Amino acid sequence: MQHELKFGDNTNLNVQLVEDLYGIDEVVVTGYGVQKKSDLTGAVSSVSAEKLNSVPIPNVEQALQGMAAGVNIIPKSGKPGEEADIQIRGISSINGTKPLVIIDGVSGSLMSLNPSDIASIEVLKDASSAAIYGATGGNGVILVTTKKGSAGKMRISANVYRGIENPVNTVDMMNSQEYMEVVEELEARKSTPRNYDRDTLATYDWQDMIFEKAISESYDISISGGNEVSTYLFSTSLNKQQGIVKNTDYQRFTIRMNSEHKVNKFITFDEKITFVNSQTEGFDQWYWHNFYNNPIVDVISADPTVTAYDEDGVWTESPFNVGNPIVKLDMKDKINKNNEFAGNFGLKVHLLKGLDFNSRITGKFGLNDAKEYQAIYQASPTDFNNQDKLIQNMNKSLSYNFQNYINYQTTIAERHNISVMVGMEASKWWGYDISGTRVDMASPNPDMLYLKMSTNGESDIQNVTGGAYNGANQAYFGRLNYDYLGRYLLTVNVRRDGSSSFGPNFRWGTFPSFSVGWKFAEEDFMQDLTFLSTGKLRFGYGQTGSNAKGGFPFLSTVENLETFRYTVDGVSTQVGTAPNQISNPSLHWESVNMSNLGLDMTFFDNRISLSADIFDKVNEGMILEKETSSIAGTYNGDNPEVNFGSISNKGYEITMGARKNSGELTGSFDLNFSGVKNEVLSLAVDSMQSGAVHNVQPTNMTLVGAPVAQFYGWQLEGMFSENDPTEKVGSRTFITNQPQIVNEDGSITYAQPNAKPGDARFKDVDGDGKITNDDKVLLGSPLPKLTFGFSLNLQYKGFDFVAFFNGTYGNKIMNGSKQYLYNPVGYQNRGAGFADRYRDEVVKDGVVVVNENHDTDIYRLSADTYTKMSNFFVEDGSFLRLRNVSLGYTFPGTLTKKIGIEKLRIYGGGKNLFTLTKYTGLNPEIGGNDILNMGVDIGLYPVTSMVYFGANITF
Amino acid sequence: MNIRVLKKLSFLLLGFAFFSCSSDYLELKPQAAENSAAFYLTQAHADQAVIAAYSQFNNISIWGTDIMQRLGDIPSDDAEAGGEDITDVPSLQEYGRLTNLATDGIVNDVFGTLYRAIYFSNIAIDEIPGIVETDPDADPKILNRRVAEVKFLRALNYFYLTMIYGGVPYVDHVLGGDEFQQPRADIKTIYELIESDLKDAIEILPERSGLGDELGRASKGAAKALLGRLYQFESSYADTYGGKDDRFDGMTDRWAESLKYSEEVIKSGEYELIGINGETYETWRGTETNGYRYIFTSDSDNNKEGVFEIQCVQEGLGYGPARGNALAQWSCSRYYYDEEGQPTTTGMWGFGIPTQALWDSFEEGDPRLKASMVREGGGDLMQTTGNAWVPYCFESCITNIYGTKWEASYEEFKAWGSTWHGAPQNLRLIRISEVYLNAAEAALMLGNNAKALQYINKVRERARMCGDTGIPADLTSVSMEDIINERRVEFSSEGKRYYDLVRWGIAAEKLNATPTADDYPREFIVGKNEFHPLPEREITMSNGVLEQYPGWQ
Repeated sequence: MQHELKFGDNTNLNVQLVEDLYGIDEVVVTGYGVQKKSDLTGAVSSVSAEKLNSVPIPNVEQALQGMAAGVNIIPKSGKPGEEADIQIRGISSINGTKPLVIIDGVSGSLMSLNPSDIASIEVLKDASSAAIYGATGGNGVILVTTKKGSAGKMRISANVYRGIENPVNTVDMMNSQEYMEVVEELEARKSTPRNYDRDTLATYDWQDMIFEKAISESYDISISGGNEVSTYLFSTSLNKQQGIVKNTDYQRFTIRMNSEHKVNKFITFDEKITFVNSQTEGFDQWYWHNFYNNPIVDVISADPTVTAYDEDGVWTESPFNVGNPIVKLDMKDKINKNNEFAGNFGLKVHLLKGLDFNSRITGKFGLNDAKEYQAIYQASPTDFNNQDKLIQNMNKSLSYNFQNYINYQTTIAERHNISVMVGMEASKWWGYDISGTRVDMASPNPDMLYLKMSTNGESDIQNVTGGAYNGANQAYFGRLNYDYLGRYLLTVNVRRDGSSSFGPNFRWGTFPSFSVGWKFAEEDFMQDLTFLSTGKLRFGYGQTGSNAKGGFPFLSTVENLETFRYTVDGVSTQVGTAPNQISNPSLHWESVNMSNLGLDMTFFDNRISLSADIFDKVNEGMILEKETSSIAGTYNGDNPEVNFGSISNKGYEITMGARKNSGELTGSFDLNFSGVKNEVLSLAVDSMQSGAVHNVQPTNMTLVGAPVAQFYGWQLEGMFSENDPTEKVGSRTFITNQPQIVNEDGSITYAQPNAKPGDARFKDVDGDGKITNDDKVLLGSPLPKLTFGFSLNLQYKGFDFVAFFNGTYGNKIMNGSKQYLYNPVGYQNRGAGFADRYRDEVVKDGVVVVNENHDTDIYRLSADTYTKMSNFFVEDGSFLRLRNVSLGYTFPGTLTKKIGIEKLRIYGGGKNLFTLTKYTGLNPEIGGNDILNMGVDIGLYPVTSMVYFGANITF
Repeated sequence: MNIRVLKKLSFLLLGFAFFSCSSDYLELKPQAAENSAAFYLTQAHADQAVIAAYSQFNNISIWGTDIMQRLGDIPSDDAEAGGEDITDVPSLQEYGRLTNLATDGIVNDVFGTLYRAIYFSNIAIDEIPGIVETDPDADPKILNRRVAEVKFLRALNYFYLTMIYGGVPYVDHVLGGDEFQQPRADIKTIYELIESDLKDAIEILPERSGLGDELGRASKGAAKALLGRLYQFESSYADTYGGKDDRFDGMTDRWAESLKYSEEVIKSGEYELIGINGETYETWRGTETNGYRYIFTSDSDNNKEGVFEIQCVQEGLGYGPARGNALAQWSCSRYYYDEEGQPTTTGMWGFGIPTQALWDSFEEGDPRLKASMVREGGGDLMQTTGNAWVPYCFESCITNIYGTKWEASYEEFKAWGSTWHGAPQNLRLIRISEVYLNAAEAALMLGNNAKALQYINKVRERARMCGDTGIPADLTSVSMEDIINERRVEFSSEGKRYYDLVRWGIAAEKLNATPTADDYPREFIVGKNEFHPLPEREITMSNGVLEQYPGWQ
């Protein structure tokens, strides 16, 4: 290849300029270059700009949901501003599935993009297309290209929408009468009945009190234009999303300035400068993804006999000491601001015919700024704060990326098309944070809330802390594209990556790939098949990888953590220093090997399209913090990162489309679906258990030979009844028709010695007469058999209509919310279903306080049943959701141009208006968990539906 | 090729040259963390390495609620799981019924915390001796003392590990990556390590009076007291299980050594039984708090009763790493009666509540009873909001008895917010009264009844001087029964009972005769329940190299 770069003796070559080859619509970005879509030999999905602006899209992640086969996007929750989980072609690593996101050539975040700025999105799914990103492409690559201005008159375009959001659904809870009956049942041991007139007790619906209508709105405007020398695009946007829960609003403001300048005939310079400010409020994300202290859990299970505030606006107290969940929502005064300033500068030098040199340097500056004030309050004797506190954090991050590559493109003898690219890239990032805490503030007035306004001297609790991080990557890469007659295609990639996270001997990894394609429809012998418009067969094989999660896991370091301190004089603490992570000097790159076979065909003048892929993806040497025996000293610390384990994903993807482009009614129907079979091939340990919802743990099991994170637990089958035979031994009564062991002395040990009528029968799977861990079985997979999306687009005269559905089939969910909906302990309220539980009559002071209910299949109030992981918690998670439906109208140009408007479209519609599922929890899309405990629903921030109106205007 | 082309070419070369020559581009230095190679070089580093080994005591819920109460009191006939009712924290109730499982998280937390302390101790033992070479200003005496301290810590952690789990993996150095799977060593093998560590520590550590302000550090007295206790356990195990149970192979009778080391502590003059002269103290409980009660207030932290105490302070950190004592919140009365007679929550949880049997084991009039627990109908008051004194409420207390030993004042308890917090009293791990009773037991076993009587009566005298009933009176003769009961009443709610019952071999007899308060007929299975199970996780991690004892398999 070096040889071919010698362009000095090129006079006999037939060289064509790259630009001349490409039609605008057919070009896709492939990483350090572009390629004609018809020449692609890898698996790439594209989403075009039009799809992004026809309906309200608060962020790019949501725009991609269900749009591309094999790209599964699961929102973490309905909380505004939260990132989604993105899985491209299944789960290839226990570390997570986050793909590499490249925005205009440099890695970035989808959440900080203004969707209106986007020209196109490409998803590189297989190794042959992603391998150019080598070690960072193991989870797939999402390439985003932003819009540019074009020469001509100035264009002003504006988009606006506004919508009203409501929770998609709520949970049915018991009313106050049913609730009081549970209270009495809990207190059956105590002699006096609760002194309430139960029948007249009002029921307060806490979800109704806490969840409020939320407004979502977005405004953006862009100005673009230019001349033959320079083009520009300026845009700004503001996106505001209220949360349906108090103090959870989100806001994002963006500015972008893109321009491109032809310095002379040979040199082109471009720049993209962006500023993004985003703000979140209230509790940090982890609160909403945790069972304990989760505001949603507290809201749902609050005491229904009291309201949130009394007539004086004071927090009420539950007579049963159930916390008033609105207190912490009211008192959570925290704001988190994120500012990112980035500049992206590119230089393209046209050296010779077919030979270009590209250089790009990008710098980013991020400043994250959080301020929390914990005010003094007293809500109840146990819910109070008697010392106020101010906490401020600031986190500064800096990074740069520098890349250089050359492209050479030529055609030999009019049949051999060759293009070669070689390049290098280097990036470095570093940052630090500082945080301070002071108590006893002079005043709760926001203008006075600065650290120096503490009235108290400095001491241990008034501490200041901070840390820092850094890292660097470096890479060399090359690509060869060759085709013969434009019919036989070959792509070869190789990339060599280095990372500062690995030790000197393991720092570099090489990631090669190749792919071939055959446009068979262009063969002479196919010409008789006139219905076939295009046809291409593709095959690729290659390697991508994954880096360590950061830091220096190969290096033995010591830290002086807060938890390493101790007081030896009973007064002040002294600093302790010790290793927190066991190092692994031989840690190296994770590698993902993938092969892909694909077929693209279009029929009847491209009106019908079909694209099918099958793939086989195997991750080897997965990097994981390996759980080690605690004798290594790792308890509460970080386990060593090691390369172990292997996961295979085999699957298929089908994308089909049909369009009608002529006549008054035009439109299209698109369908994509995919299925992945996941299998763990090896692990360093026999199995890995994970997941916990309060007492129910572990919930998931990952073991060799099965998909990751299978649900795992006992099987309940039927219920003990009052009609079961019993035996009395001493003071105790046992139900006898259950698994048992006859001891040597003739006595019997029952499998469930504590069982009472109304308890669940646990299945003795191994038949040993005992209920043990050996009776646990796999209870289903959180991974869907099938994920799909389909959309219908219609245009008739000025009207346009789009309906878009997506869903999954064949996955299970561990409904962790049953942990509080069927809570066997405590005074919280429970789900409506619990009212029909099995129970005996309870009489106190001659009053029947609990009515008997034996004719039911809901187990009694019993810890044995409800605090063990079993099939009781596992539900079918398949769903079909109408993600979006909208109707738009574009006013006739003849009309609008009179008032200077080139195009005016108004639209209205709804998001998440309809969901079909058997799942009984709040929402069948469960995101935000680690891979090892996927599909465990702890009761997330509710997903919302939205009804919206909007307009697109171009001047 | 013309000049212009060359010019353009130079662009390209420039770009490539920029990085291709920077071979150390990826050589970064970690930030805010020190490379281990650059640490353990100075005396200050030695101090910090030792503090880290102590710091594992900070996980107060492990030492207080778990080791002492969950594993040490609740499975015994002294305490019930308690809480709201018998369904509260099901896994805790299992301990009371002796139906706890190896999969329970607590055995794992305890195991992990103790081994982490051992890991930090091993690092310090390995690294500190080299510091004399690298720090010319280092005082070799201080360095030696630091090593002796961590040897004491390693011994203490291993002592608790063997007491809780029996034989455990033998780890006396920082393990390499290929050494993480270790089999169970015999108890005796671990005991030999503890013995040699403590003897090394005794050589070097200063007496309590030589600790200066830093009374939380290990002292000669603490090491001797622990060694006396080790020999006591070995001797009891030998007497009870020798020749019958191979888990205890190699154990021999060492009562003489137990007596020797215990007596050395008593005679050192470094410690005293607080209140033995009838002194009273001003505390939050009142102006004339008796000596026994005073011991458990934060005012008496690190006084002369304490031979080794885990240091607790309040610092507003979260519950996990908090350096506060978790037992106040965990074990004290769950409800009180407000002015209208309504049960109102105290913010404490009422776990590990004393049993009727424990109550009954006190002689009538023993002042230690009132200082340790309250019962329904006793008319006792507790301190709550605004320092008001209110009646205890036993609505959800299954035994109708609440422990009060670990109570903190309202001021101390409420200090750091409304949930999950610790109190400031130190955890008294070894008190001088225990050293007296250890000596008494050893003397009795050696046939020296006079000496045994002298030491047990000393403990009874202090108790007597804390009240005005003349109870408990001096004994005129002493039997093993007397020792057993004296330990029970002196150390109620201090996490010793279950481990004692096991070493005396009377656990089955005592526990199988007394069902739990909810009438669960617990069964202590001989050959199984002498120890808690190793964490299931550890068995899995070891790939079967580490095995459960029979009965737990």
